[in-house]
Amino acid sequence: MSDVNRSLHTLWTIFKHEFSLYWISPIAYLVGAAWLFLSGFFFSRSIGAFNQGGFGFGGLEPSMSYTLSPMAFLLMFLAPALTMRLVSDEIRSGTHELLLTAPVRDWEVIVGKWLAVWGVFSVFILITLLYPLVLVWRGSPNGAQIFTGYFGYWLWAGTILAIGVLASAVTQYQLIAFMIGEGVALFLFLADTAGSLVNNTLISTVLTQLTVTQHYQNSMLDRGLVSAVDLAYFIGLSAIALFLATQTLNMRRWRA
Amino acid sequence: MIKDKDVRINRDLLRWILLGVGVVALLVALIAAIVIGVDPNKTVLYIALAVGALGIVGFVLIDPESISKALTGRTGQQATISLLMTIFTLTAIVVLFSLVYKLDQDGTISPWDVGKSGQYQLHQQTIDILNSLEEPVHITGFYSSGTSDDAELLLKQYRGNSNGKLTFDIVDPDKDPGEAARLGATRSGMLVFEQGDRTAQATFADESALTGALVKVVLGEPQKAYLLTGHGERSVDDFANQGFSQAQSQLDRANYSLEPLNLIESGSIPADAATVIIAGPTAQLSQPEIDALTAYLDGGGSVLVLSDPGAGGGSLGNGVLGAAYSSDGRLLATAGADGTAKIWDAQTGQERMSLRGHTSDVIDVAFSPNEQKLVTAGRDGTVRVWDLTNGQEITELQGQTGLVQRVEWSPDGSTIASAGQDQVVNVWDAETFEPMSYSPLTTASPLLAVAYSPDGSLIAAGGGRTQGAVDGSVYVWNVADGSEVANRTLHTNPVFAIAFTPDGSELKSAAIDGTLGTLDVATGDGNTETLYPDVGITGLGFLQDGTQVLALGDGSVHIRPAGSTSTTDDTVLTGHTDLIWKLVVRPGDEEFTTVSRDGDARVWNIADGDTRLRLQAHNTGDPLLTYLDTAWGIKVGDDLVVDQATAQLFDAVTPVIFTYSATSPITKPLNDAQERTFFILARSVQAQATPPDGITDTALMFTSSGAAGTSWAETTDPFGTNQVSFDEQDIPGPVSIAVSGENAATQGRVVVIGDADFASNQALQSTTYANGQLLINTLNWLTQNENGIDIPPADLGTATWDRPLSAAPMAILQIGATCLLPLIFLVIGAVVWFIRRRRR
Repeated sequence: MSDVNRSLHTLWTIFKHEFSLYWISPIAYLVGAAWLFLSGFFFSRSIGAFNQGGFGFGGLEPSMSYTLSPMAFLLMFLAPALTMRLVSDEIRSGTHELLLTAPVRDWEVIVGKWLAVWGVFSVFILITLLYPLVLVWRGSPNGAQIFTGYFGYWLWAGTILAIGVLASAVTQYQLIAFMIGEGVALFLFLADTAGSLVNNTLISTVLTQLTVTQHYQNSMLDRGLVSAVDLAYFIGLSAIALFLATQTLNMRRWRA
Repeated sequence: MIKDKDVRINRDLLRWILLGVGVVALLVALIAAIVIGVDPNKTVLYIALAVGALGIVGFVLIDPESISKALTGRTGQQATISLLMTIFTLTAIVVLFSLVYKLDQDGTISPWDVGKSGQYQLHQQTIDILNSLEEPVHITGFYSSGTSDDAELLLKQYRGNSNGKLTFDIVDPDKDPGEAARLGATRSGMLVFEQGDRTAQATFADESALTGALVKVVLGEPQKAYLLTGHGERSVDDFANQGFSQAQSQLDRANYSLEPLNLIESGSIPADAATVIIAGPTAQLSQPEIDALTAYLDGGGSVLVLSDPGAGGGSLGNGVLGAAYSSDGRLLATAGADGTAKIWDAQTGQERMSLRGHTSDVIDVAFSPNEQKLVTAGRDGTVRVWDLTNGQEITELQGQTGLVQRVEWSPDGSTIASAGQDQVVNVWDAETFEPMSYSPLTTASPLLAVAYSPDGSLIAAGGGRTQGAVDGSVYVWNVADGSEVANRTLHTNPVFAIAFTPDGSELKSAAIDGTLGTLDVATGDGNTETLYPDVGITGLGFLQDGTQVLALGDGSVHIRPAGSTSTTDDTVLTGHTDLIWKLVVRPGDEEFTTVSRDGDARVWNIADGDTRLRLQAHNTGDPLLTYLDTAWGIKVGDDLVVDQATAQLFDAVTPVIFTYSATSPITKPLNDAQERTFFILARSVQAQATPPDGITDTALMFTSSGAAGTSWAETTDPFGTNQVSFDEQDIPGPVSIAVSGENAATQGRVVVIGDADFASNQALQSTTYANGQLLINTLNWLTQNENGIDIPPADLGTATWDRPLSAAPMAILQIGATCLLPLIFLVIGAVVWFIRRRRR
C-alpha cells in the first residue's frame, strides 16, 4: 500500500514539475497556437457550410466532425513536437534524481512525463470547447456525439503522445524522435488502406483494427458510440508505447 | 580471431532475427486462433505455428552456450529478464485486445450508445425472439464496399444474442452479382433472411426492419395480403403497365402472398389477413364494405389505400356531373361521381330511382323522348341504356372507348349519340342499339360537347384539347347518312358546350376562353364574339323565345335577352361557388337546372332568379375517403399533384419524391439513403392538423419545396381544359402525398398513398427508383402488429442548424477562432519567455 502511495506521490511530483516546465517553454505556446489556429480554421469553415445549408444532398448536420476529423489527422504533426525532447533531455541530465529523496523508477519517469504532456494537450482541447457552445447557440446539435467525439479525441491525443514519448526515449535526437512519432502515427492512419490491398481476411482485419479511423471516426466521432474495443485500442496502444519506453530507458541505464 | 568475431556477430544477428520472426509468427498464430477460431482448414495457423517453433528452436540451437550464459551471468540475466518481460507484456496486451475484439464481434459486449438513440442496442423483444430461434437463420447483407459499417454493428448484436443460430455475411452486389440475383436483391443496402428455403427481406438495417424480417422468415408461411376487387382495382393478373403482377413477385420474396378479396361476397375480412390493400379503385366502395373494413381495423387490422386522382369523388367532381330533363319536364335525371344516375321528380325534388351499374363516375344522362328509357355515359368508357319502368339496365352500347363526356338522345327518339375522350361521335339506332352504318364520326380531338338539332336531323360536336394542341372546331353532320354539313374552326380554346337555337337555324358554341361562336347552319358561315374572357363559358341553353342562358366558369349564370350584343343587358344569377358542368332548361321555359363542381344541383326559377331547389344529389362523397377523413383524420384531396421541379425527369404530373419523413419507419430508410420514388398522376393526401382522439398521423412524402408555384396540388381544373397553373385555390407545395395513421387503442394501422401507379408494373421495373422498397416497407409496417412486434425506429434526433449566422457575427467568429485565440496564446507565451529571460 505504501508502495502505491509512494509511486502516486512520485508521479504527482514529476507531473507537477514537467507540467509547469511546459508553460515556461516556448514550444507549448507555439504548438498550442498552431492547434488553435488549425481547429479554428476548420470550425469556422464548417460553420460557413452549415450557414449555406451544406454541400450535400440532404443538407449538413451541425456537428464537431468537420473540425475534429481533420484535427485527428493533424495531431500527428503537433503531438511529436511536444514530446520530442521529453525523455532525451532526461537521459542527458537525469534531473529527477535530484528532485526526490527516494530513487525514482523508470516507469514512474515515463508515465509522469506522459501525464504531464497529456495534461498540457488537455488544456488546448479544453479551450476549443468554446466551439460546441456556438453550435448550441445557433442550432441543436447531437450532444452525445459531441461528447464522444471529444472524449475519443482526448484518448487519441493520449495515445499519440505516448508514442511520442517512446520515440523520444529511443533516440536523443529530437528531429529523429519527431519523425518516428509522426511515422508511427501515419501508419496508424493508413494501415487499413494497406489492409484493403491484401487479399487475406486475417491480415486485413488486423490492419483495419490497427487503424485509428476504425476506432475513432467510425465509432466515437460519427456514431456517438463508446465501445470496449475502441477503449482497448487506445489504452492498449498507449500501454505498449509506455512500456517499451520504460524498457528502453531501463536498457540505456544498465548498458551505460 | 577477427574472422571468429565476424562469424559470431553474424551468428548473433541471425539468432536474434530468428527469435524475432518466431515471436511474431507465434503472435500471429495466437491472434488468428482467437479471431478466426481454431479451424483445422486454416493453413495460415499451421504455417505460423511452425515458423514460430522453428524460430525459437533455431535461436536456442545456434548458440546454446550464450543461452546458458544468459541464464546464469549477471548482465545476461538482466537482458533476459527484460526481454522476457517485454515479450510477456506485449503478448498479454495483444491477447487482451484480441479477446475484447472477439467479444465485440460476437456482440457479447454492446457498445455504449451515449446518445441512447437505440440504434445499436437491441430491445428485449428482439433478444427474446433471437433466444427462441430453433432453426439456423442466415442473413446476407448486400452492401457496396465500405457502406456496411452501420449494418454490421447491429448484425453483430443479433448474432451475439442468438446462441449461434444466426449468422450473417456481407456481400458486395457488384462483386457477386450471382448471389444478388439468387436472392433477388436489386440494390445495395438490402438484407435477405434465409431459413430453410424461405426468405424474407429487410430494406434497411435498423432493428425495426431486421426483427420484422426475422419474424417473417421464422413464421414460415407467407403472410396474406388481401387485394380488394370489384371496384376496378389493379390486379395481380394484369401484366400490362398498370397491372400489379410485378408487385406480387416482389412481395413474394418478402414473404407476402397477394390474394384477391371480394368483400361483397365474403362479407368480412378473412381471419388470416395480415393486411388489406385497396389498390386504385375506380368506383366507390359500398357502405357494407366500409363497415367490414371498419370492423377489421377496430380489431387491430391494417389497410393500405392507394387512391388515384379522379377516382370516387375526385376529378370531374365532387358529386353531381350531369343532368337532363325529360321532354315533358316532369322528371329530372342527374349523373354522379358516386357511380349512379338518379331520377327525380322535377317539381318536388323527390328521388324516384337510383341506377347503379357503372364502375366509375357517371358523367352525363339523357332521356328518351317518351320518358321510358335513360341513357348514361360513364368515366368507365361505357354508354348504358336503362329501362325506367323497372330500373334495370337494358344494354351497354358497343363502340365507345375511354371516358365518355356527353350523351344525347335525338328529339325524334330514333338515335343516340355520345362523344368523349376517344375523339369520335358514336351514333346508335335507338331501337336496335346497333351503331349506325357511318358511326363513328371522327374528329381531331377529345370532345366535350355534343347536341342534336331541334328536329333531330343534324348532330353537332365541339372540339376540345388534345395533347398540346387545341381544336376549337365545330362539327355538324347529317344524322341520316353521317355526311358532314359543316366543319369550322370558331375558337382557339376548347368548346365546352354547344346548342342549336330553338328554330334550328344557328348553332351556338361556348368555349372556356369566354367566346361564343355562331354558325349559320344553312350557309356554313360563322363568327365569334368574346363575352366573358376572364371566366369562360361552360354551359349553354335556350328558351323558346331565343333568350340565352349561359353558365360561367365562376359558377354564375347569365341570362341574355335574344339579340343582345353586349353583356350589359345580362341578368346575373349567383349561388354556385365553383364552375358549372352543365346547364339544362326545363321544357316550359320556367326553370333550368345547373350542376356544379361545388357538389350541388340547383333548380332556378327564371322569373325571379331564385334557386327553387337544391339537390345535393350525389354529394355523399366516396364512403372510403369519408371514412378515412372522419375516423383517421386523413384527407384525400380532390386534385392532381404538379411538380415543376422534377418535371424534367418524367413530366410535371409524374412527381419524383425525395423528401420523406425522417421518423416514420416506412420512409426513414428512403430518407437516410436519399432514395427517390416516383408517382404517376398523384393526388394530395394530408394529415389533419388535429387528428381524432388516439390517432397518430404522419405525413410520409412531399413534393418539391421551393418558390410558390414550384409544386402544388391543382384543384381548379385537374383534368379539364384550362392550362395547368398555380393559383390561390390550389394547395401550395410541398404537397404531402402519403400519410400513415395508427390508432393507439385498437392498434389498427392505415397507410394512404395518393397514387396506385407507383406500385404498378411500369414503376416497379425501374431499378433507379425505390418504389418497390417503399411498397415493402409499407407492408412491413402495416403487418408489424399482426406479428406481435412493435419496435420503434431508432431516433437519432436529427441535429439542425436553426439560426444561421449573418455576415457580421460570422466574420467575428472567423477572426476570433483563427486569429484572436491563437494570438492570445502566442502573446502569453512571449510574455512568459520575456520575463524568464530578464530574470536570468
